[in-house]
Amino acid sequence: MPTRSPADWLPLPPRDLLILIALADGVQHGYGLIKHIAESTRGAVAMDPANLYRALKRMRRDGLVTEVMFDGQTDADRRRCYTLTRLGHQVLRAEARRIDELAGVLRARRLLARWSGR
Amino acid sequence: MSGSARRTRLAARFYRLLLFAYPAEFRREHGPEAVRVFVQLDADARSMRASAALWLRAIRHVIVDGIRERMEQGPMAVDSPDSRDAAPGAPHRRTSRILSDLRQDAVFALRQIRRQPGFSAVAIIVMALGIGASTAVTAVVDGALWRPLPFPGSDQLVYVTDRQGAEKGVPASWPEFQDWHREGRFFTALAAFASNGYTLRNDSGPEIVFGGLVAGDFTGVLGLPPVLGRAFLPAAAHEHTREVMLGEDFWRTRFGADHGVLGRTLDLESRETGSYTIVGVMPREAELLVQRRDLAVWLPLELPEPFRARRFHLLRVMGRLSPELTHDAARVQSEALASGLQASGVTTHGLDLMPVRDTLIGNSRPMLAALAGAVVVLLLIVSANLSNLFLTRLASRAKEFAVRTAIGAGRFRLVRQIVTESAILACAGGALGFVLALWSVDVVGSASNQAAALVPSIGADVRVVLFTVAISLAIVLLVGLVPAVRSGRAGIVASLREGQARAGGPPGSRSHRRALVGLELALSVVLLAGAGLMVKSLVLLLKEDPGFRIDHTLTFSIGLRPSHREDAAQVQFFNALLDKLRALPGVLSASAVSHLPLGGSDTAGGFTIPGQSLPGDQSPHSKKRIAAPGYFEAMGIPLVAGRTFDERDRQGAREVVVISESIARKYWPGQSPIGREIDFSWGPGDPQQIIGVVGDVRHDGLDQAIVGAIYRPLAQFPRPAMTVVVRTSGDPLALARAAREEVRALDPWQPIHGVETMRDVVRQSVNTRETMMRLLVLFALVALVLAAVGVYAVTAQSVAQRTREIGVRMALGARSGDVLRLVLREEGTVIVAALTAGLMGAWALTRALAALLYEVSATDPTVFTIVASALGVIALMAAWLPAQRAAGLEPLAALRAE
Repeated sequence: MPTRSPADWLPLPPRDLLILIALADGVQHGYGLIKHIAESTRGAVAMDPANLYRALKRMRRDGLVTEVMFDGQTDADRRRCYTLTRLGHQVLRAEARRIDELAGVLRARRLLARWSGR
Repeated sequence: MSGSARRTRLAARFYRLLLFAYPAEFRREHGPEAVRVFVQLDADARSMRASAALWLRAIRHVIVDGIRERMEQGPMAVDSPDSRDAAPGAPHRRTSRILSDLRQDAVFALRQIRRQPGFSAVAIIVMALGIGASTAVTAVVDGALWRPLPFPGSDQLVYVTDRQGAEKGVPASWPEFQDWHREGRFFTALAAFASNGYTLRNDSGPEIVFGGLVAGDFTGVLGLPPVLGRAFLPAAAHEHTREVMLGEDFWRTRFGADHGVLGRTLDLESRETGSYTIVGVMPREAELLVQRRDLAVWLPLELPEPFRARRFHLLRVMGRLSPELTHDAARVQSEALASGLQASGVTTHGLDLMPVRDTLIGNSRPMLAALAGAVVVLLLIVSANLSNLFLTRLASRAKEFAVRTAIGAGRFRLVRQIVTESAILACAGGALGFVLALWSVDVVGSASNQAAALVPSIGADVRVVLFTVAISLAIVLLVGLVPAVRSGRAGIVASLREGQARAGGPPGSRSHRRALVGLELALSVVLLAGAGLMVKSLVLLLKEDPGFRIDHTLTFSIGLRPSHREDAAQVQFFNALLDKLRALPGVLSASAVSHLPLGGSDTAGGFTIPGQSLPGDQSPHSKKRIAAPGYFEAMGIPLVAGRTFDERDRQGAREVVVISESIARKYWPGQSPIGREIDFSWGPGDPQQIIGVVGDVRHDGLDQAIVGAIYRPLAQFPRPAMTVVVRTSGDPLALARAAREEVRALDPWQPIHGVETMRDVVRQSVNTRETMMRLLVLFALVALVLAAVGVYAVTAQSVAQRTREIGVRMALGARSGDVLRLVLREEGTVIVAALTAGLMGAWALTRALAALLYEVSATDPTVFTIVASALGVIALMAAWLPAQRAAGLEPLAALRAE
């Protein structure tokens, strides 16, 4: 597979973006991610567990996130924990920049201000 | 605590089931983890509503995303270079083509479903209602009637009862049990059961628990080993060893299923105080066999000497027949046993064998049959409704299909597209219906106490899940395939040409849909009539005079501790308690009785009248009750003649009885029984003198025939277990606390139980009937709503199709009233025809309810009239709304619509 630059992933689907943001704070497991996303969106986004793992699986395949294992965990209660890869960080930063630029455009045309003013 | 464990299991099972929407590989990799997270989220949900939202969201997401995941994965895997190398050639390409077609169908179907959220939501909800109701009812019927009982070789299990002349089903006496045990060679095991209340002393105070007492080979009959430890040893060995087994539920809830309980002791009080050594845990199924659901402990049965006499019929006897015996052969053998015993002169009684299942199901069979019938009708209505919904939907898409046909889609391709859409909707409806069934199976089960005991948790049962799937599939075929084939016909192209597609489908579909709505209406009449009959039955039943007053009465039960077990002490305790209760503010009167009417417990037996001799099978027979002074006054049972009990009726004084009216009429017709004697063969003693006659009371149920009762005074026939009745001026429950305090003041270690109002007691006695009624009413309401929606939809569509016609008519001078009449006349004809058909159907079908009705004919004209007119009015209103809209049309706008 040819190497892809972070810009190739942009724009990120909203769900993926939320997952990357949640992971930017550090290592998380599935339950923690769902809680984190719910809190950061004030309950507006309630993610379904299977859907979350589906997204994580794809993002892992794309090399945006990686799975980590902690020592001392037995197989029985093993929890998959996830964290951002270097690429993941880059993509997140690139997306943040893109959104920021977009927001700048909107503000310049007084679209954002009007919306937030309501 | 066990509730949340059950909830966790339920949530996990539910989510695991949903995950089947995902490909197997994903499930293997992430399934367990996703289930665990879901269970955690469910545990976090703070309210029922939050939890319901979570589950609903899960259904939507998992199914939609699961299918997406399959689509992303499936064709991709097929198209990958490796697999192409592995399987080259034409067959492969065809598979790949079909897969990609399927994928295309699914993508397109999902898009269609999302584009019409209203239609999709209604379709899913209607499906869920039908599937949920039928799954829950099937689970209950399956558990009660079809599934084998949870005992090995349950066909060999019988209850053995005593027969006295014409009276059957009498509990056995101790000597009878011994006779049957000794002579009954056709039993491989025989056991006797009784129960007793105990005071369990633990750190938090005294508590009443119920104990099952067993003699003979109880575990042999049950056919199941103890859950833990061992069963009781044969009689000789356990005499006075004070061993106890814990009931499985009690062990699980109180001891956390601790395996270390063996050898520990339990302090139980009954006739005497003692500490008992725990030797084992009795499996839960044992409670089912003895038809009790509250047995905390099990003990060896040791009847005190006086109760071992032949006249005490206290035992429930059950046996296991030799496997090679049929029930008929066993019956022949048991008759031989009975005649042998009668010939030897030890008894005049016979015995009967009753298969265990027949007894366990008892009278629930007609109930379950009626429920099953109702749910079939409901399912038909749901299917008709869905069919209608899909037809409307297809009609509005006629143009789309015509275009697709025109650019080369084959008829098969179109049909497949439609079936894919309905299959996806049915998956969602099935999943939601399954959740509804999980929630409602307990409610349905409680329509029959006996059946409820037989119904395990529904999710545990693969067969019920399969049933849900089968029903969903049937719905797909019915609502998807049939209209699909219809619209696959060439008619669509023609309709496109004729320009009809804009307003609706081919003209034929309207009459088709009218017929469906008519069917819905007719079936709704059947369900509503059934529900109406049940409602009227219950109303009449609750109006029935029980023979005593129901309001403003508090009742609670006391089983005296051993320290009060002396006869004099018993009388003294109750007298003291009653005096104190009578002195409480707000108490009008207080008394006590051995068996509360409608309270579920009972005892009966024969008596003789000195000087009168009747043939053996007509020997006098009555309910036997022991009452404290003031009982009839406290219960509001009228005194007809003579007097009731008072202080004169002491120990040592002339023994007296009060009899009820029907006994007086039967044995002393036209004369006064006051002062006469009877011999109440309930313990030794001289004949007793009749001092009073009181009104009859319904003891066994409001719908049961009155059986006369004979009352003896507590002072002359002391008894440790009594139910106290307190008549109050205000809210009876407000006095519960004070009553408990009075008992505690007399003896801090004396527990009371069963604190409830008389109204609750009466209510519980009709509980089965009430639940059944509620379910039928619920089904009927769903049917009503679906039918009304159906009428509305058909009328609205027909009006829309005729907008132009209406416009022309109005332009030519028709007034809005004329238009209204025109539309209503057409729909009204359908409604009237449907109601007529429905009434005929109800007339034929409600007979199935006859066994459940009380004082109401299965074809009660009042109920039928009310149901038909109510449904007629609602249907007309549903038609009136769109008709009125048509009448209000601007003629010009209507004409321009074309």
